[in-house]
Amino acid sequence: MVNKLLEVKGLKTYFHTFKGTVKAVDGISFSLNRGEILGIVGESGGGKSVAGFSIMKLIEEPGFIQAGEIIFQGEDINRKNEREMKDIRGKDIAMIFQDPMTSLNPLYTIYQQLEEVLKLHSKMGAKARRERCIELLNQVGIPQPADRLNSYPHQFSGGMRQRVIIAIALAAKPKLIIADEPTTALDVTIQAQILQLLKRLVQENNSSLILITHDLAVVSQMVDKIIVMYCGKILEQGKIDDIIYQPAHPYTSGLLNSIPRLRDQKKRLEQIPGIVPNMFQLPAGCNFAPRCRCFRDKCLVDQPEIATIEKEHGVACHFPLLEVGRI
Amino acid sequence: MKKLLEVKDLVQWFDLTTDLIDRIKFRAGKFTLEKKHVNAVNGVSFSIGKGEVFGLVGESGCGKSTTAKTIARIFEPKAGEIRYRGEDISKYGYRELLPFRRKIQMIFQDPYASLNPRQKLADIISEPMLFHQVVQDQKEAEQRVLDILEKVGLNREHATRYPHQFSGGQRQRIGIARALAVGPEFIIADEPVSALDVSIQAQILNILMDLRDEFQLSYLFIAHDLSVVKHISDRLGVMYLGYIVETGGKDYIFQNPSHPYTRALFAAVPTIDEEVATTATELKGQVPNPIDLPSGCCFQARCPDVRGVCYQEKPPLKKIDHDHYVACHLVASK
Repeated sequence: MVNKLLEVKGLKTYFHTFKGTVKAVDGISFSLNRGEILGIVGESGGGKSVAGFSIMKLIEEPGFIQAGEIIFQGEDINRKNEREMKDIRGKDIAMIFQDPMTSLNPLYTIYQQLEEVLKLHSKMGAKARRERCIELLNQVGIPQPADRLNSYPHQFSGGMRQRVIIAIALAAKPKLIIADEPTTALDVTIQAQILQLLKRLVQENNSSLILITHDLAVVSQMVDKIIVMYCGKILEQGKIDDIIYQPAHPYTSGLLNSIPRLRDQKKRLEQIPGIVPNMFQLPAGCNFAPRCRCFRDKCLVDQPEIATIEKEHGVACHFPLLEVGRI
Repeated sequence: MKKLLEVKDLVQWFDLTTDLIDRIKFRAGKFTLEKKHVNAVNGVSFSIGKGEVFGLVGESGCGKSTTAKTIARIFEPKAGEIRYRGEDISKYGYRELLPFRRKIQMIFQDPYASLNPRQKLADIISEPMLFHQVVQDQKEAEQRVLDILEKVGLNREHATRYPHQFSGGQRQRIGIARALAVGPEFIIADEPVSALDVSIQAQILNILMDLRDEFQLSYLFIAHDLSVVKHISDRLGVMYLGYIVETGGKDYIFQNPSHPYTRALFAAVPTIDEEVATTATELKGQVPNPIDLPSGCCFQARCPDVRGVCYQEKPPLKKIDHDHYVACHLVASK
């Protein structure tokens, strides 16, 4: 398989604390092809960011990648040591973080921060690096890039900073970009600009993108495949249209229905009762059972495994919703 | 519908130069004292009827929160009128304001920061009741606390707990309970669901709507999420750079968004409804600095259809339909 860029198999990332073990990511498997965009959605505490960090091997104590394989371009990242990882991070896999205010170093100019990536991962000379930096800033839509090179992060607005961060992520032409809530801190009009930009650049560079977000609406416009995570497990995964128009898991369907729509007028929103369970005391059976509107006895004792219901559409539920055109 | 709250030409700015040295400027051979202002709200007018939900939308920094806080008299208005049941409360002093403070309550965005971490839930909710003398004594207050907790979907056991023992959604319920405690008529909700997860957001929106039906409450509902505003409001105002650029009944605005900014805002909203086509082009650039306001239309720097007149004249709010007003030179009035 030449086309497969990343394959994650049975990944488990646990955090061992004094209060007990938190299974932040508990046995997730998925794969990503070249040029594909994958969305990981879920509510806060679902383990989606930890999944992203695990692929970069950026998990710090007390967290450990407990088990699983992360096969990137045929090699298992999980077996690599820190020195080998340094060559991969930024060059093959790049990450875009949520908060554009804190992920740039305030003491260095934009140029220094952009150039660092090229110094580390390319053999370009000083002049070529400078030209590439200007080209990168131009690509992400920063006006007068040559003049802005020597600016400091505080001289940029939030949206502009996120553009700079995207430029840094793209600098070494990575094959995989992991974007962890890249637009959550931004206004809607700026969010639209950044998402368009990200999608265009990923396509131009033939990279793959993992987009981690809590916003199903953002995901539905951007991605090819979706993974829905809840309490560290994948509840549902599949092609975008399958998930949005024929959600099989009650959680996915509940999430979709709790979003107010611009195009229809409902008096009340359908709501998912209750809250996300405490990660220290997960329920015995299905994690979602206490909040599920159609749980049965089996759900309380038996944890469902993910099963394929249709081509590429998998769901971890004992009683998946199968009616067509649910929402 | 009888008007409960009427805001007329409300103006709010903040002085940036607290230092005398900063203010001394050398101009045309003379030293002069100058002031630098952040012009947060520049003459905003709207009205809200009894039982009505008025939504205020716009990007961050457009002045929607400042408008709300000025109406609640957390900030002193610099100019303009705030009429509550016909009475102008914009210049009232502390004592005159007290009865209005009871009638106008606020729910804040951040459920973590807006509750005192050292107070128990029962105290958080009973404090405003005792202060405004809605109840006679502690005992009556306790009883009322339990009633209110039930209304917002919390249990009576929760009354003895501290805020850190609750999740974000539950804390927002506490915030709502505290606002309800004194029997308000008008609630200002400043981004009450922005910090919450989607499934919790739906729960909170449903509670707000149930309470409106039960107590005939009116809301000034502030949000940046258009689909939330569409869901909850009867009428709305779109703010940009301290101005209301479009206002009116929800259906008028959503069916026929007329200001270029409103159109761009609608197009930018990510949606899972595929039939909402993105007709308008994506908005270039960003919100200009509110310190030096442009002369002419506030939206000139980002407007796709900008013309000469937009640089010279400020467009007034024009009526284009029964309950639909737009401030744009390019839209013909009716």
